[in-house]
Amino acid sequence: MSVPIACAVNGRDVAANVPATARLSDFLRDTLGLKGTHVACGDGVCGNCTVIVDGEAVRSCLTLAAQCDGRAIETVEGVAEADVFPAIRAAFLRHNALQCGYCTPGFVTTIAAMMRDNAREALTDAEIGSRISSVACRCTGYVSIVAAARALLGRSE
Amino acid sequence: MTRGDTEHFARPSAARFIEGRGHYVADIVAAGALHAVIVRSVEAHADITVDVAAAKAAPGVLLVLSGPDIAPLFEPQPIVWNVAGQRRSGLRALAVGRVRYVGEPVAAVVAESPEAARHAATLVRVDYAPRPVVLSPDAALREDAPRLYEDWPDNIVASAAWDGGDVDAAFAGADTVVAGSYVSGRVAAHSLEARAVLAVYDAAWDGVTVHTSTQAPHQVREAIAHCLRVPEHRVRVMVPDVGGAFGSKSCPYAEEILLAHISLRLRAAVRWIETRAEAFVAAVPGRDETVDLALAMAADGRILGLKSLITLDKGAEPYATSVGAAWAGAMMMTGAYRIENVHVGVRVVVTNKTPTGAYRGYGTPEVNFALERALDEAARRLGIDPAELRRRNFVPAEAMPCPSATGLLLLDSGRYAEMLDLALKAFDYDRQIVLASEARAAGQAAGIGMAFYVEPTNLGPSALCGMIGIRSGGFDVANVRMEPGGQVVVFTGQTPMGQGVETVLQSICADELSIPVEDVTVIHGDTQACSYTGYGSGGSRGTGIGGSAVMIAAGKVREKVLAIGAHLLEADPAEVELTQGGVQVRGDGARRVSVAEVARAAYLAHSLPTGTEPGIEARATFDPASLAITYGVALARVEVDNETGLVDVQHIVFGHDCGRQVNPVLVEGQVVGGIVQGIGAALYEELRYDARGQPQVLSMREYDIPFAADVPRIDLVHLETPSPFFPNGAKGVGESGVIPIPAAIANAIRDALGDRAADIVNRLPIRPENLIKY
Repeated sequence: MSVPIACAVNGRDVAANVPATARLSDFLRDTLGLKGTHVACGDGVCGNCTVIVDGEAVRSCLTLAAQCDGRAIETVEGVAEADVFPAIRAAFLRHNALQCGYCTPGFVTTIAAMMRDNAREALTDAEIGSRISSVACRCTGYVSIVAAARALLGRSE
Repeated sequence: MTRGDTEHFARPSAARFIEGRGHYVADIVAAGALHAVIVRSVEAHADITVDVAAAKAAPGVLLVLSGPDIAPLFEPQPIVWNVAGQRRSGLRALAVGRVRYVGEPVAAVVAESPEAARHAATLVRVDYAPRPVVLSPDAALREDAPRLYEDWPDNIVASAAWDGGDVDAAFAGADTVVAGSYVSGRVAAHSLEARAVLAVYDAAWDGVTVHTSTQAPHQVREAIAHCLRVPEHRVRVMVPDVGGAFGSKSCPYAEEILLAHISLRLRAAVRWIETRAEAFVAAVPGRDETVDLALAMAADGRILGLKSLITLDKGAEPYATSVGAAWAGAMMMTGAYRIENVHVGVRVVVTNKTPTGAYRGYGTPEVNFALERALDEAARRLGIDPAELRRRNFVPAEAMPCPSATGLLLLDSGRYAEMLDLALKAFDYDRQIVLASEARAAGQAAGIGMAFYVEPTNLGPSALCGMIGIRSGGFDVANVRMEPGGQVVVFTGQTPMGQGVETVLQSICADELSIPVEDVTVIHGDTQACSYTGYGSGGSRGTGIGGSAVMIAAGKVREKVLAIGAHLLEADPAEVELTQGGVQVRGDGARRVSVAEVARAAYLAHSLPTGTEPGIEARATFDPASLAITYGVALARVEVDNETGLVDVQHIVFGHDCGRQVNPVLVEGQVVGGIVQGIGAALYEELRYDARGQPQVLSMREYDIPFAADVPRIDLVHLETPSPFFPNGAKGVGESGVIPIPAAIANAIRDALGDRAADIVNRLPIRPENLIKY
């Protein structure tokens, strides 16, 4: 069964008929060719496939494409064009906050959503840590990623 | 190092990864590619018959293969590590008549779409006639144990023993003997990119290009060519970005051989992407080793003798890296210490579980855990501070290079006592002892622990590889070509997988030629472009061996640039120097030509020094004289929750010496990443099986890896003691972090909980349910 959806992906209008069972991650990767969204566990645990839907970081492997009718979706490719991105890129390079790069889009989207959060000033250290803990990395040991995120949120290093 | 340096050392690929432009196998667009699904055994041990008729008839299906189909076509898979007397299984890419673990490939289904392939896979009928299972070495070694291989006399793949000195006399003369059984659990390397293969037929040369996520492209090519009886030049292996590997992608896999066969057979492109559930049963896990260890101690803390037996649970197949981890463990058993009287035995046993392979550390973490736990108990029993006890036994710097009593290990260089003191100071050791003691007096379960380690790196000497049964050499080859514009291309057999080896090679080449790093491109992961290399990336050898090869090749290019430059300047070659991108007469900046002008002249060839070939390129092979032994120490402070048993690792100080650090930012990244994987292995991670051999971990929900909130404060301290055996002085760094962390944390928990935890902490992972005080 197919479901018609109309949504905005990285600021562009997209209309498609999607299988009712299609995951957002598959729709983004296979239908739209946005390969920056990486699926690592497919179970909603690792957060590598995180994208931003209506301003919130969500796991695209646990989201059905059919649920995205009328929504605004932003992938890492979209974040890379956004105002917040030059700072993100600089902080990631400065802190060496990546190694193999597979999980990196998940952190970039998660951190971009935090940077745009109106309540970002009020986030406690524990909350920042908790949100970063929504994405799995096997290479870096996280220290550099947390340092980059804290710098981007205006916290001391 | 200042923060400003970080950008200087950044990898060219880093910006691309941040922008979401990483390019992994699953991201490669191949028009019209077919999709393969592997049907895997759901039984741990059974005779099987496979009926593929219904699957073949399903819509969109082009090919279905089972074991009997490929048996006459495929040679058995080569064994990467093959010690004397090791037994063979005759493994082929699909099981023939019998399965020996859950996850073993039984059939391959090829269809036009992933959905069609998945549907047809459900139609492959496998009838299982179950056999009794063996799931532990203890069970496998019983006289009446079911055999995995009928033509073997028992379930032992291989065994060996080494002796040095007079171990019986040492134990007879001991003041005390400390003994224990130390278990490292079965863990997954768990790269976030699972495996993936895309095989593309190329009519132009009637061959196949296999895109695969691997650490060893030439070994994959060798295995495909051998198994399919195809000449090597008809197989091209290409490696795009690799999303983590940690050793698990260092061996050729059945899926790579199958996909190459399917592509050549159908003259088509075919893709296979491993699911996470498959990765937990079909990619090689690591550890699953028990080290039985006894130390003969003198009252003054000297280690008089060591006896150990290393038992590796190999899982169902001796293939791939096979027994090497146990052999490496035997080599590293004596650690950083002078121990004159030693007996080390190893045995590798088959069980009905997924075959174990290489995982970061590869045999060293297992023996380090045993030795450093035992030394801690010895210190307690003898009433000697554990740091002091270690110091009394170190091989001193002036004694190096120093062979171990078994002759298996040569400690090349290092300042062990200095390193220990440096780390103790950074940890504020004396004060931490007092604080932990006060906390315990106040009812808190607080403790500190340490572990010293040595790490075999720069895996090489080809002759050594031969002696210990590795199927390939240990050398590396680099080709360095200066283009007519003066830019340089480096071709290497090393493979980036996140560690950043491409950046290291780029900077080594740029430094040698005194040109900017932007003018150097590194080509890797392509068996047609890059020369055969002995062993790919693994064994922490990229910088020391791959880097040395690049350094030597770039040095040859440099000599030619100087010779042609002198010719253009009409100067004596002995009077010119290469500096800041140009050749100039020493002390006369006015007489100077740029590297670009030299390169142009080399390719124009209108006027070259007599006997000089046009063009500028050089090839170098580097085969080291010895391993390089990285070393260091971990100190940990923990607190255990008495109610829940949860362990809070609060602080880690890690002292580390990998020789000259070519890129300190990447070194730090490797060490910290390893430390956190070590925390996972110490406290969280385990691939469990039930009594029928059914894996209990098929999802990340069932396999706890560390997340950011689990990471303690980590402080690093470094020494840089160059290896005498490597032109660039560099030792390897990739595996350091994981090695001492389990023992340091276990010793800290032991300190926190006292005698009741003395045995509990000898088994990894140390789970909270075992630490609760009832």
